[in-house]
Amino acid sequence: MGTDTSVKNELNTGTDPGVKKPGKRVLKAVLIALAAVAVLALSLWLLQRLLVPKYISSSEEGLLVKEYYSYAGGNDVLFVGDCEVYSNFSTVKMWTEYGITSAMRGSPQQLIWHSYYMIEDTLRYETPKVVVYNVLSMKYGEPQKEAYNRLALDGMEWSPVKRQAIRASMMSDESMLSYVFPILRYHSRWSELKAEDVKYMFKTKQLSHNGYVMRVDVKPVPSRLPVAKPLKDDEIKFADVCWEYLDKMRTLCESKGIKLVLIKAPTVEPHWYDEWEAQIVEYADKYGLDYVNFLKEDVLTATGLDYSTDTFDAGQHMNLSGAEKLAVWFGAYLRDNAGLEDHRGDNDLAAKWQSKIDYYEEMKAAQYRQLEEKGTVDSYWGD
Amino acid sequence: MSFVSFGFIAFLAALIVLYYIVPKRVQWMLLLAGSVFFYAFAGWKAMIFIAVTALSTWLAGLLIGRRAAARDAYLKEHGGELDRDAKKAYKARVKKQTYLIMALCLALNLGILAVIKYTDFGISILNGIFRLNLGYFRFALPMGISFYIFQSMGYIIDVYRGKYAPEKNPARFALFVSFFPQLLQGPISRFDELGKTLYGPHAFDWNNISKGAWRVLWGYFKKVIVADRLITVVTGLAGGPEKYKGVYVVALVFFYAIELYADFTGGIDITIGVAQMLGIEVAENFDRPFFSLNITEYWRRWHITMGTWFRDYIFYPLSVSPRMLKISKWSRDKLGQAIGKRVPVYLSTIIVWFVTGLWHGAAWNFIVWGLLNCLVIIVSQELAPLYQRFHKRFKFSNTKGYNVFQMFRTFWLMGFIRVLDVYRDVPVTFRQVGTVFTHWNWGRLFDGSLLKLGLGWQDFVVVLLACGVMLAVSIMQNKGQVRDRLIRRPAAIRAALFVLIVLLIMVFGAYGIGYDAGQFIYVQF
Amino acid sequence: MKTLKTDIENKTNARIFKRLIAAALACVLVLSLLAGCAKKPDEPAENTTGKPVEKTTAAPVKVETFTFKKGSAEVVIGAEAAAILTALGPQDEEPYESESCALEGLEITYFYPGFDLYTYKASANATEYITGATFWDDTMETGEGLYIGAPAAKVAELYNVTIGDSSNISIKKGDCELLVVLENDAVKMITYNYPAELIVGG
Repeated sequence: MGTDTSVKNELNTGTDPGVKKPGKRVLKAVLIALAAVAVLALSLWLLQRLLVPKYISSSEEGLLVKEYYSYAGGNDVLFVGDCEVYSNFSTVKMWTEYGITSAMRGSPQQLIWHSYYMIEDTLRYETPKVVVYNVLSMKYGEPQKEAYNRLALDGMEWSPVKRQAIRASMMSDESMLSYVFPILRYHSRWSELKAEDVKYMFKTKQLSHNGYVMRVDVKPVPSRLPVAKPLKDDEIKFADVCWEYLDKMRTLCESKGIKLVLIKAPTVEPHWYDEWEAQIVEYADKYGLDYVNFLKEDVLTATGLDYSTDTFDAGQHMNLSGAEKLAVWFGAYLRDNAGLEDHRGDNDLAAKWQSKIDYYEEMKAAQYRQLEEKGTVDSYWGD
Repeated sequence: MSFVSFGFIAFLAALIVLYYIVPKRVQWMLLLAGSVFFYAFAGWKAMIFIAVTALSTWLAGLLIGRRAAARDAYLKEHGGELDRDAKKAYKARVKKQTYLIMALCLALNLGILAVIKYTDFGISILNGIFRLNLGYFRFALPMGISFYIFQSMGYIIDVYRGKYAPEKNPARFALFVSFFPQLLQGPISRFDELGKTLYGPHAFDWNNISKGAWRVLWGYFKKVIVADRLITVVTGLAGGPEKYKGVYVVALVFFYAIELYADFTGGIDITIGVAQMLGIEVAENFDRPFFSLNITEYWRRWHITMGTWFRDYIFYPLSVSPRMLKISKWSRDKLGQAIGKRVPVYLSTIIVWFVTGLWHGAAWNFIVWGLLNCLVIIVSQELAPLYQRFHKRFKFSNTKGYNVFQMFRTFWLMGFIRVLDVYRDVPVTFRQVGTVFTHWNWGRLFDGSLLKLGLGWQDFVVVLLACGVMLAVSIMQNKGQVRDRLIRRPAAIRAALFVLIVLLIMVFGAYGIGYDAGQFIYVQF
Repeated sequence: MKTLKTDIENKTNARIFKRLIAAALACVLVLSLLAGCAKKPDEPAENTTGKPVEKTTAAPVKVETFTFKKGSAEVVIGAEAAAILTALGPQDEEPYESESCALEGLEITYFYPGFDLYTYKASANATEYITGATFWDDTMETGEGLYIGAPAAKVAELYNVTIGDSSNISIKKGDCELLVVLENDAVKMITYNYPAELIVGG
């Protein structure tokens, strides 16, 4: 007992022969603490890289928002909206047909405030001549699923705009901190880790063609569709918050000299109600905006869209054939109504777009190959 | 503010830094401010409640103290003039006065608790008996009310008994009532014990910080990795009694025991660790209860501060109250020595357990839970001689193996009584426990059915490993605090271990959206 | 003399005591009124015998929902779909499937004579649940006996609701909603909705 205490006392007073001065001991402790913090931070960063979803074999659309930064700059047209945008208009076709440079910022079930902040974010990199907004998301006055928030927001680069976008989008059980440190959100993925999580820890794959997501397979619209469910009272009028953001979008575009075009893509499901159509038409009329509803008989006929060949999931999204038909018609529309130039004469641009065309053709070929071999397209990259 | 939130960790970090920067004499004021801030998250209305309790108890304590002081002064001055009877009468008078003050304070505070917590239960009983359809008030209980009221009532009874002098400063007393680490879940502290270290001054002591931090980390480990993960399974199993019978009930008993243990002891670890980082010593509330050999021992080792509270402030006073002495005499006369001497003890025991059950919740399941505990305790007391004979006769009863069997028995016995509060319905609980014997489906344990309860096999592996760690630590604690031994290891190793545990909690913790317990909702018809 | 004094004191004390008790009870009452509208504490409402339950009532709620019949098959909105689909029998028309964008959820519409039936699966292998139905002709009747073409008064009578200005009447039972659309004082459409977000796991 006696010896034990004396040893302890020696240690405490620093008379241990191994450590001479108390100053040295403090220094050592501080160094160890600093090293521990550094190791902790590094480990957390690596774990975060490992645990965040890679969007390679599922929910691939999660790649879209981040991909924008690789094709930002020099785009005359910016599409914003949900899958009705990124599945339905081929940006490459618009270039090959008309020399129109276009980019998309769309993500699954992208809500109008997501779209608004993406326009703001885009303006940090470029000022397009036209912004095209697909109006389907007007029907959502509040976020439907946390996952869609993550798909829309995780990929955005950090700026005050992103912070505002997150604030505007968060559901009640979400926290800003989990956007700053995504490991707080995705830590539970440890049990679902796959080889791709390691393989794509520090790299990724390119999914889109300036935001357009390609699918080449065909599933026609069936002869019978679900009857349109009646709208509830609170579903008839678009929510105030949606109008608010549409106003913000319009005034932002006005202030930057951007032409805002509203569209409704030609999808048969989910149902687009007459009550909704009337509200958009009224708004467009009131502010002199262009509004193109592709579901209208005359537009549909003009595009040449064929529901038995041009959709890959029974009318909810267009396939490549449909997206190219829409691009051809809408490219001409934009050229005529927004006075867009043909840039194909610009050698630098042409070279840049040639590589996009190459990738487009490559993916197309790969998907057709897979379709032939397997009967389905279960990977965008055909692998 | 929940312990498991980044808000709390940020709040704590800021508080600790400030705590050691400010002059030492204001440290306790900072703690009070911190506690008020912490409590403010429960809403301003809840703050009024805790303020009323703190203020009324402080005032009552002060008045009692003044009367006692006046009595002492008077007796000192006039002691010589009075004869023994007069002194006695004078003392009795003062005692009556202080008793009145205490009773009033108890009436007010227990009245608040009773009205808010038990009105609806009372209404439901009335509705049941008289086939009425009275509406419920559905009061929202102010955070921690059962704890801070009991803690305050312990104080006022102690002051009345003259155990210690009352606190004169209302702010200091308010800190005792509202000290934030123990607001949510106890322990129920005694003023004379907590008061020793609560008010400082506390110099910065790396030893305290580090030991406290380890304890907090360990608490998070238990709570976040084990308890919060198992909630999913427990709520799932308890929510579908029709679907989950037989072996599922056994699984529920087991998982709930682990979940509750990890949650409650983990929370207390955080409480004690946080207090230690502030240089404050909070009473221990658990002593590895699952190592108990019988229920009486279990209750000495589980939720200790609650047990001793009931013992000191209800059981003892009840046992020696004049009424009980009368009953005692009567029963000895009428029923004979053997039974007669048991009557008052058992009566007090029954009352204490009834109240204990009621304290846990205003519902029949809690009352039945309390009384079942009581029944087991009384029965084992009655069987004690039998056991002793058995132990004498058979030598193996002192072996380790037999002890393990006793622990096992206590664990399951307590577990089966405890399921009353997950089913929250007395008949359902009894029916479910009955199915363990009638519904033979042990195969479900091995055919993957358990994996359909919201947790994957990986989660069960994590729980299993973490339970292994908890068990190992508990066994190591036989030789004293694990942290004491840890501290003798080289600093680099300690740092590495600390970082590792933080990472384990961050990755394997069941927190955030991926682990929303509400995600596992199935439809029940 | 002394005893007399104590006696009086005692009586006074008792009176004061009674008054004080009354005052305390009044305080309790006032405070309980406060609690009536107090905010929910942010403490998780766990049910443990370790910690007291800081919740006043906790009667488990029996899940209620709407049902209707097609032939001998009973459709229970919100229930598991498999048995009900079997009971309804196979149909000529292929069901219409729509996948949640980028996520795993799958909504399916089955076509039956007189109504469309909606189901939801959280993922390809998850259990399928009935999430609703829409009647589109008067061969169908709700479990309570409402049909397309019935007079508006019938809605009021069957569901004990008052019919206001709105042409939509929403009737709740548990988590399930029955939406009745009126036109010219008669029922035009009938739809059942069960929130798909309640069906996540399973």
